[in-house]
Amino acid sequence: MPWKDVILEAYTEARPYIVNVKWFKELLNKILNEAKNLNDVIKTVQNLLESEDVVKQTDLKIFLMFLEKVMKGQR
Amino acid sequence: MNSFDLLDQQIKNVLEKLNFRKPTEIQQIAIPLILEGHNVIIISPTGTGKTEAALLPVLSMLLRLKKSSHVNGILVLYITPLRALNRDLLHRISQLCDPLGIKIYVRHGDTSRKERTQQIRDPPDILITTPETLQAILPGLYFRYFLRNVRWVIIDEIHELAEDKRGSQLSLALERLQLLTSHDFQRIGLSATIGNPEEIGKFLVGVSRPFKVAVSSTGRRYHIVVDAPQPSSEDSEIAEHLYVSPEAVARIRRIIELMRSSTSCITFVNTREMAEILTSRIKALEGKFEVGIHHSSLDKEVRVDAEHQFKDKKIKMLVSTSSLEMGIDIGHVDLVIQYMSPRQVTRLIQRVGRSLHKEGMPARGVIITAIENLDDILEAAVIAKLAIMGKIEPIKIPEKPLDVLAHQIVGFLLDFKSMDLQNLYNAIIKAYPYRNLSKEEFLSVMRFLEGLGLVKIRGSQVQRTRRTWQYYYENLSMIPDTRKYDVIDTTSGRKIGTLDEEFVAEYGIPGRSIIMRGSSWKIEDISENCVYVCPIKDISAAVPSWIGEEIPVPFDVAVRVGALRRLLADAKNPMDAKKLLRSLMLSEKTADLVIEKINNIRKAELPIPSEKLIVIECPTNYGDENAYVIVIHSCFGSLVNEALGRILAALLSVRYNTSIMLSTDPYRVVLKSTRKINPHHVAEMLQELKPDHVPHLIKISVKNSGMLIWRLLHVARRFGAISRNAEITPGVYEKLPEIYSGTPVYEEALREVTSQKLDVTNLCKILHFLRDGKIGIEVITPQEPSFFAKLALEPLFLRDYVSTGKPIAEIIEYVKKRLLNERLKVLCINCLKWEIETSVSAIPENMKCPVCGSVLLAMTSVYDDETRRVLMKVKRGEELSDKELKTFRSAQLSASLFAEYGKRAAIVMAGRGIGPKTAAHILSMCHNCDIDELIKEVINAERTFLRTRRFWSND
Repeated sequence: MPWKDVILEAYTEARPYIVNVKWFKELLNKILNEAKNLNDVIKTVQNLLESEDVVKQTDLKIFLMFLEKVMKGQR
Repeated sequence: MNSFDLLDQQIKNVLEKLNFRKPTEIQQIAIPLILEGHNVIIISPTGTGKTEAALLPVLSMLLRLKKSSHVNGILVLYITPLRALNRDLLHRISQLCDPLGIKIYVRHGDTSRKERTQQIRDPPDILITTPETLQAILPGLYFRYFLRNVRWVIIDEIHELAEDKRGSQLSLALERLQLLTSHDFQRIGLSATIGNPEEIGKFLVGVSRPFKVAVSSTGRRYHIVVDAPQPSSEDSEIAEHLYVSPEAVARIRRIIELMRSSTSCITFVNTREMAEILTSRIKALEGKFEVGIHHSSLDKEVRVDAEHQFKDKKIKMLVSTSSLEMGIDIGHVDLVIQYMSPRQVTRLIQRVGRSLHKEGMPARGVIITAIENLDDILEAAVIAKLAIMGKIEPIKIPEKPLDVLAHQIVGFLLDFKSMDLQNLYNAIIKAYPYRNLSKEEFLSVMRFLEGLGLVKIRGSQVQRTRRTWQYYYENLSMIPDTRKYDVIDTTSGRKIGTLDEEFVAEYGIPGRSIIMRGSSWKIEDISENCVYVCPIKDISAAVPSWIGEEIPVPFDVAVRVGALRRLLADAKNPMDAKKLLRSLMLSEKTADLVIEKINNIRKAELPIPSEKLIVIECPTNYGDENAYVIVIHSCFGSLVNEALGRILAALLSVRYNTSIMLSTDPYRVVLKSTRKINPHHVAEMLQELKPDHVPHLIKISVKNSGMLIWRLLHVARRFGAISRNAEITPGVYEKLPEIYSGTPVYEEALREVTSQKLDVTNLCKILHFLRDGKIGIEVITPQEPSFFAKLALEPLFLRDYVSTGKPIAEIIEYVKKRLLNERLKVLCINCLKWEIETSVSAIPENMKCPVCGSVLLAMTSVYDDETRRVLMKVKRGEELSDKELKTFRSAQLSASLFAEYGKRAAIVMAGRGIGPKTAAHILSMCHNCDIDELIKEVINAERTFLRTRRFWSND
């Protein structure tokens, strides 16, 4: 599966859990435009964890959790 | 205008110092109302400053009162349902009161004698207490004096109290306080979740007193998702090791993943036993983060310790029952997980409301449901939607409970020595729960109390008696008093919790494994008050079980689940169904799964039971040769189905002259019998059942039920008719309905059963709809039980702890270690010149007496001096008594066993309660067995001994 599809699948699974959907969607679009591969996305999200508030941090961590699951499924 | 501007200047200064500049919405609404002197019920979500909304205006008025007059004593009573809340509250409001010079004390069951004395010497301005302690202090000499000036009563978490007898008792206590103070005090009630604020307001103020409702308009935002994790191949592998189903592993793994994604989270479960199971499973799978457990059966120290560790972030997740629902400050929580359907909207709101305690922040909740159980998924979805819409179940206030009335009549008499009957009646019916109490009912209770010698009626006056005081103080608490057993870990000597009497009676067998505090334990012994256990690794253990814990699913929720089933089944295309499910907070994958399940059910071409269709199913191939089963699919909730089931079971047992076994859940009634029941007869019965007959039929069907008898015992105790310490023999227990028939005790027990355990009102409604044709009935006789019938016949709960193939290696290892560490006395019975004390492990395989070289070595207890004395007597040729002869033969037998079996004999003889005769039996049986087999036999012999030891003097 192309890496962007992996991201989209993880997002679809994570979306019901995410509290700040609008913010997250915009953020993800931005990241997808700038990233070159899956690792770039993971790194960017992980870096963001430091700067965001608790609610957004949890949103990001949940997304990473689903991303990991989708990637595992790929392997 | 800022409502803080209305407060006393001193308070404004303190608020400024504490950096409270702007009132929250609820403070803005409530403060002016309270300052105007209204009784107010404040409803606002957790974390919105309710406590301050009530306290700030009260403190302001208190300061002004103190400045203007020399009023002394307790001016504010702050009542909470929990001691833990009191401690929390004291800490929280001290920062407001200390700078103002306002004294606050806490008084409850845990208050030390020293503090109590101090409170009498120097009464506080504000007393924080529980309803039970209020009962204790109301008639007290000093406190009556201190309480006469009470001007404000604040009741926190009022919904918790209103719904049971503690609330009925409190409502009468407030009327007693009213008579004591001889002025109307201002009443303020606080709650986060109330579905019927007007009625709770009436409960707060009583009859004919006005009140205002202050409710926050915005409410709390909830972000809830319903998920049913599907198992992967990895889950199946883990399942084998954990002795659970792969579906259960998938759920546990999802919880762990979510825990890792959060800063700190709470997982709520519906019963204590599920808390135990889940914690133990999570601990088995999660190695990195600490997980704690919290429920009411755990020792207080253990619970407080878990709260502190969680607050200090030493524990990442707490698995808890409703014990953590109420407002104790447990620090920051950013995620609440609900394991399986929360069964009630109120529960879900209270639980999810524990996350992110800051105004404006949405509370984040995840419901992890069971993929195997469509009911659980749909129920969780319905509840999540109702929670987001703010549609909370109304609180049901108990209607004139007579046992509470009896106790409070005595309370009034302790307060006032004697009272005019009419004045007493007038005071009682001012309390909202007693507004409909008739004079006849009042006099009937009064006459019953007179018969018990608790009051004296002299004309129009009623007086207290010598027994009044003792009865009153022995029955202060309305919380059911069931005997508890302490559970002691024998390896550390530490108490790890308690078990209910009923559980111990049923499962308390030495050798049985239980789960407690998230770990597995084996019962070693049971004494009068204690259960002794040792830790084991075996997680496929039996599980502690507690009475009446399952939360009933309300009528409204079950009906909506039925409607959802119907809508999904009728959906024209999958997209419509998916849209519907997505609107109900289901995750994408769960929605797909539900649609797939519904499609499969439709393929069976059986009718789908709903809120408009009752399906009576009689599977022809049930799988039990000796039992016939009828499943009545009725989506009407736990209590309606229980009432319906009891009536049908009673009617069918008469018609078929056979006993009927009944079980119910929120969506079904299951009837089992050894005789075949015609499902069409059941359908006829249902259609012919008249709503008017229901109350009478219910009375008949519960007449001699365990449900009623257990309640009769407790109600009779609360009435003072049966002493708290009286041992009730089974013969007397069964006769309780006969003994108390026609008395207020029976009336109250029956009221408890019909109002708490059954839903007669909604059952009548259903029967009306059946007669009007608004609800239909269909009879089916499939070969195999249908999809929905299987949900009742194969309980989901079992899949969370499969106990087949239970490994006992850990137990064997533990016992082996223990036996080898035991110490024995070895004595040469040939020369009697050699004797040693040694551990079993130090005994060599071919031991001989170093003095005479004999192999005849007797093994006895290290405390035994009798054997040596008897053997000396034998050597001297003296005659032996019968008892001495027995000792001699025992020594001979043990010596011959040692000679024949060597160290194996010593290992067996080290077992608890194993004498030479039993040892001989075990050793001969296990002559060629390996050591583990031998240990197994020792374990069995120890169990037998522990079970029967009261009948033994020695082996």
